[in-house]
This record gives sequence, C-alpha cells and structure tokens, in this order.
Amino acid sequence: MTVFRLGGFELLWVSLAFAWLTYAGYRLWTGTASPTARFLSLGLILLIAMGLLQDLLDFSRG
Amino acid sequence: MSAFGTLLWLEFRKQGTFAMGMLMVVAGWSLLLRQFFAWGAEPSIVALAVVASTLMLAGAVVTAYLLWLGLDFAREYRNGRWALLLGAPQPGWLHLSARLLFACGVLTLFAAGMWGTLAFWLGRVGLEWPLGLGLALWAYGLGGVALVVPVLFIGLLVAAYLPARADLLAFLVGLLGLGQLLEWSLRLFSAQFYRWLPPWGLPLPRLGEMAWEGFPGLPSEAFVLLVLLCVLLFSAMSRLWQEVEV
Repeated sequence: MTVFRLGGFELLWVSLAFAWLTYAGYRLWTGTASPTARFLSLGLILLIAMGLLQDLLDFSRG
Repeated sequence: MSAFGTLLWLEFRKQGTFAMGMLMVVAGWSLLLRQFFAWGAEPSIVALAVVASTLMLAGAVVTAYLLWLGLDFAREYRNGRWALLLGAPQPGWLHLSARLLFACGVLTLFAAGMWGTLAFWLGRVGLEWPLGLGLALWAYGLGGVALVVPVLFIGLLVAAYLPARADLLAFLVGLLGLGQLLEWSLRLFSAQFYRWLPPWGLPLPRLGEMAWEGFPGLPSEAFVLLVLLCVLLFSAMSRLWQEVEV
C-alpha cells in the first residue's frame, strides 16, 4: 500500500488552497451587507477547511 | 384574499399549464395501457411491461417538471423579476413555501393519478399493487423537489454578493461548502444515527401465488437526512431572501 508523503510539492498545493480559502473568506466577509450571508459563507469556508484537514490526516495516516 | 392565497394563485397561473400537461399525460397513459392487454401475452409479462414502462414514464415526467422549475427560476432572474420579488413586503419564506407547496401538490396529483392507473390496470391481470408501495414511490418523487432547495440556497447566496462582484467566489464556496455539508452529515449519519432508525419494509405486489422474495426494502435514513438538511437550508434561504439587495 502506497504511503502518502507530505513533501514540499504537497505542502505547496495545500498551502495554496488554504491561502485561497483565506482570500475567499476575506472577500466574502467584507463583500455583503447581509449578516446571514456573511456568517453562512464563513461557516461554509470553515467546513471546506475542515474537510481539507480531514483529507490531509487521512492521507498521511497512509 | 390572504398573501399566501395570492401567491398560490400566482403559482397556479405560472405552473398551471405544465401541471395540466402532466395530468393529461396521466389520462393519455391510462388509455394507452389498454394496448398492453391487446397483445394477449402472459399476465406476468404484461404486468412487468406495464409496471416498468409506467415507472419510466413517471420518472421522465417528474424530471422534466423539476428541470422546468429550475429553468423558471433562471428565467425570472433574467427578466429582472427577482428585484421585484425580493423587495416585496411578504417574507421570503412565504414566497418560497408557496412555490414549493404548489410543486409538491402537482407531484402528489401526478403520483396519485399514476398509482390509480397502475392499480386499475394491474387489477385486470390479478396483480395487487399495494397503496404503501405507491406512497413510497411518491415520497421518493417528492425528494426530487428537495433538490430545488440547495439550488435556491446557492442562488440567493450568489445574489448577496452581486453588488461586490464576488459572485463567482460565492458560487464556488457555496458549491464546495454544500458538498462538505453533505459529506459530514453522511459521515455522522453512518457513524451515529443509522442504528437508531427503523428499516422501512415495503409492502410488495402479489401476482396470484407469486411474490418477490427477499426484497430488502427502502432505506429510511436518507429521508431523515433530507428533511433535516432541507429545514436547515430553507431557513437560511428565507433569511437571505430578506436581506439580499439586487
């Protein structure tokens, strides 16, 4: 069974994904007058980040 | 006339033609099914042909109706009617529930007509078509209406970000986030809730001495999950409706 290694290439892509999520979070938090949309998009972004972390943990467990 | 009655009347004006078309399909199909019996094949073969073709037709018509519903939202948006609707004094959930209630009513009438047709014609070859089976298929058809709810949720989320030109970003985040919501609720359901829910056994059709053996029944936890997610998304959606400016 192949073991996933968290090398430089993977770290680059994962940190790019997290950087994009941070950017999206900033744009979506500041980009609307509707408080519901603001908190909903924050929650969705947290869910996505949680899913990404979960995948990372699953992968590095091998 | 109350606001809800007016909204239902508007829905009837808009969806009425399509709904009448669906009921005409039922009437035409109940006449066409006669032809299966003119073949003079064995009763079990005729029953199989009748059930399979009716279910296929019903599935196609329900899919077409749901597509039409989605396209109608898009058409309203293009015609600029959303700005009018969003500025209306009635709360958002009233608009949304009028539309969804009408859609559920149309699908219920359609399913009842199809079930009546099946039960009537299958009775001619001595096959009992239990009411519970029809009800289960109807419930699965209504599950399709639930698909409208996440689509509208994403639509309203995107609309909230139109003035700031972050609509593509909101769409991507909404799509990925809803996928995550589904994944986490499936995880929770499979790990925790699955064992608490009762299995939903189906009443099976009988043809003389013949009956399907060992049919596993339909899963019920999908419905519980569907209802929970729909209530959650519907309440978020109606709050968004109140706050969105177009």
